[in-house]
Amino acid sequence: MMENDDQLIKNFLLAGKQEIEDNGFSRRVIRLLPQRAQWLSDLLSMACTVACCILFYIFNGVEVLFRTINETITSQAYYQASNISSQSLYLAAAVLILVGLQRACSLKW
Amino acid sequence: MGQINDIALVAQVVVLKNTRAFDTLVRKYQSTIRRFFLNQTLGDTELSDDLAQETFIKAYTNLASFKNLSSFSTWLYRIAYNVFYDYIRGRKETSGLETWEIDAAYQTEQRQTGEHMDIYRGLCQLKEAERTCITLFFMEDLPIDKIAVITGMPAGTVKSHLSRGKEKLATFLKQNGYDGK
Repeated sequence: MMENDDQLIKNFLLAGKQEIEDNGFSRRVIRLLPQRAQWLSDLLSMACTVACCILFYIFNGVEVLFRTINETITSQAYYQASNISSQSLYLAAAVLILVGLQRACSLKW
Repeated sequence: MGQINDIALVAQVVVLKNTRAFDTLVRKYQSTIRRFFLNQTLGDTELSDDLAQETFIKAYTNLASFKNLSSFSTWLYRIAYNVFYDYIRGRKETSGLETWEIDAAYQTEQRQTGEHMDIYRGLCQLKEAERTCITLFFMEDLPIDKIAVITGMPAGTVKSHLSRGKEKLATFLKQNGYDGK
């Protein structure tokens, strides 16, 4: 009886078993793979970087940057030089070295 | 031979990022996976294709984690099973009854040919877990231990689902005058 039921169900399900034609399904899957999306994202990032470099060059970015840094250092040196002690300089250097080392260690090689 | 071929293709995808090798795998298994979803969704072609697509994309992104402990097809079935149950969980939180369940219950056709309608009417009698076990066992001819790996259920639970599913389906078929010929 049980074996008859098994055969009955097997026949019923196998009669309805269908081989499905691809009909462009695989192509759609390949088109949606994340690697392609990553490639597009990389392309977009590259395009943005190039655009930024061009704008930087057109608006004379090097000179503006240099002038700003120069002014900042000069003004800071003028107003705060008297307040900076050698101890605080050592402390700042130590912190910077520590942060730098931490960053370097966390990099994946 | 097929298994070795699959492993060679997987290696090409993982190491060389060869999408053509992955395309070969998709072409080889698309019918099996889409049929799995068609059976689970009781013939909703559009939903089945969406879920099958998600399955292959997940397989591609996680291909490096394929450790060859089971065959590639079993691994792919496992992803498909998880994709389907994630979908069900998501849907059950928002609505009570699935559209495919309503359609199958009232026999309103959803873009598939009439000759396949009966099989979905039959499968509609089963609970989701029973349907999964019954179709994998009888239609795809998978052994119980593989079904257990795919579904993550103990083999005993798979046997229980099979037994209950068989009883329900056999009763339904006999009541509807199906003699297996």
